[in-house]
Amino acid sequence: MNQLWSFLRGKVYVCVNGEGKEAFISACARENLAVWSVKRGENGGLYMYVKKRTFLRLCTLADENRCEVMVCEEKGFPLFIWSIRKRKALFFGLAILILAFSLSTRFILVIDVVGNETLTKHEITSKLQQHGVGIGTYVGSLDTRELSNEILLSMEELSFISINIHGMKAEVIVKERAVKPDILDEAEILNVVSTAQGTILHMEVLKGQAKVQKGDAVNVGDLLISGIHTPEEDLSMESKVQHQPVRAEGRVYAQIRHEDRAVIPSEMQIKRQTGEKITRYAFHMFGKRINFYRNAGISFEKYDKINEVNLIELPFGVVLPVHFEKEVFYEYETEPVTMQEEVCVEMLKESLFKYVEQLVGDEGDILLTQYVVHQKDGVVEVAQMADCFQQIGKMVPVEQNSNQLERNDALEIN
Amino acid sequence: MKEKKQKLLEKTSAWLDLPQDAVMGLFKVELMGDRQVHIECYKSILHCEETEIHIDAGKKMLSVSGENLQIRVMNSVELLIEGFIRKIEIL
Repeated sequence: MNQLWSFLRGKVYVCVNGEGKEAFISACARENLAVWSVKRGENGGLYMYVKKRTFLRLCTLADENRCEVMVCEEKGFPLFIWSIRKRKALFFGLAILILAFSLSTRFILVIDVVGNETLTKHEITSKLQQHGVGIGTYVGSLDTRELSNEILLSMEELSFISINIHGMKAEVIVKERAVKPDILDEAEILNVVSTAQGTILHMEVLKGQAKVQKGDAVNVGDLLISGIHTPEEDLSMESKVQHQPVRAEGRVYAQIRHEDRAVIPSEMQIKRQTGEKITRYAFHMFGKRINFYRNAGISFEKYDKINEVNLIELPFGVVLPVHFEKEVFYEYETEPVTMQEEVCVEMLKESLFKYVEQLVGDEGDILLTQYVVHQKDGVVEVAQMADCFQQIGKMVPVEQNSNQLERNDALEIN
Repeated sequence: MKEKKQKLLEKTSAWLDLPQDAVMGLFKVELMGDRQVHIECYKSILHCEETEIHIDAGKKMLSVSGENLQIRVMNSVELLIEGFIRKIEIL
């Protein structure tokens, strides 16, 4: 540290010759003039380092003590500045560099999102972009508090957001809103009815009384689990039937059949590139685009556009807000192609199967599929019949199913 | 007279438990191994060589002998000598 400090101040290596060399250095010590690394040289003189600032005073002291001071070497930052004083271009470039560095810290180059769990970083940065905050945004124009309020109002998934600017980095701290659970009204009386026609394979009754059993055939709307629970010991005509209304819950799995069909024309139009292309370049800087072309129109009737963006990435993942973009437009023509029947049939089978998978859901399973294929007038039609194991129970209020309720009660009483 | 004064100062510093070098203006020598010697309360440098340095310490003279001796740092009160120190004499 002392060496650095003495380098910054500048130091001179001198040689003192004469009769009163020792008296001279004693006089320097008395006047608190810094002198260090004093040693005798081969020629008998005393070599030492002195401060550049005090050199003139030393020369005066040397004269008083009948000594002679000779400068051997000068070192330090002042000497360096003096030696490059005529290199104006260097000073100009240094000034530009300092200015660019100080200005660059006023723009956002890194956005860091912290605290997100289900929301992706891209979703949050896209929302920030919509509100004018992105890579290259000027920090001085941002009102972080107002921005936080605006984003909080526009994104319902967030319960808290804070935007902190640290130099070139914007730190976005978010807290996602906890999903409010559905509040079940336990006093509401519900039944479980069938949503499809099929044969019962499996029942899981959690609340209520089962009105069907395994092996029964049911239609759409049939009561499966009743919310009006009738205790079995009170079924006699003379006893008063005690009804205990409940919110019926349960899962009823049945084997049902899905019948669907899909069509596709066997003749399709495909793209074929002609070989002609147009290439254009653009430069992006701090969100602004500079085009290196004049005419923005494309002479092709039909074309595909491919963009290539070359980002400049520094170490530690910092991406600069400047990049080049290359756009290439490829002209193409369309021509009719007749697809083979087998290919069309496979495409339709696949799409029909995926459709049924969606209907069945994760709890169900597709047991058997059968297909019927027709082709007429250039159109391929595939019909699918799928036997599925599917959950068919649906909870409905008792009022909607009051007819069913009365019928079931009548059967029990009789 | 001067001797009486010196004795009085010596007794006073001993009785009040004060450092003698501060009260009586005595020089102080600190030796760190055989590479450094730190001297306080010196008056002036009398002779400076690579093998010998003579220092005026008031009533006494200090002689530091050795090899490659150099005065590392000095100011009006203290002095730091570096090198291979062989002998320190009080003359």
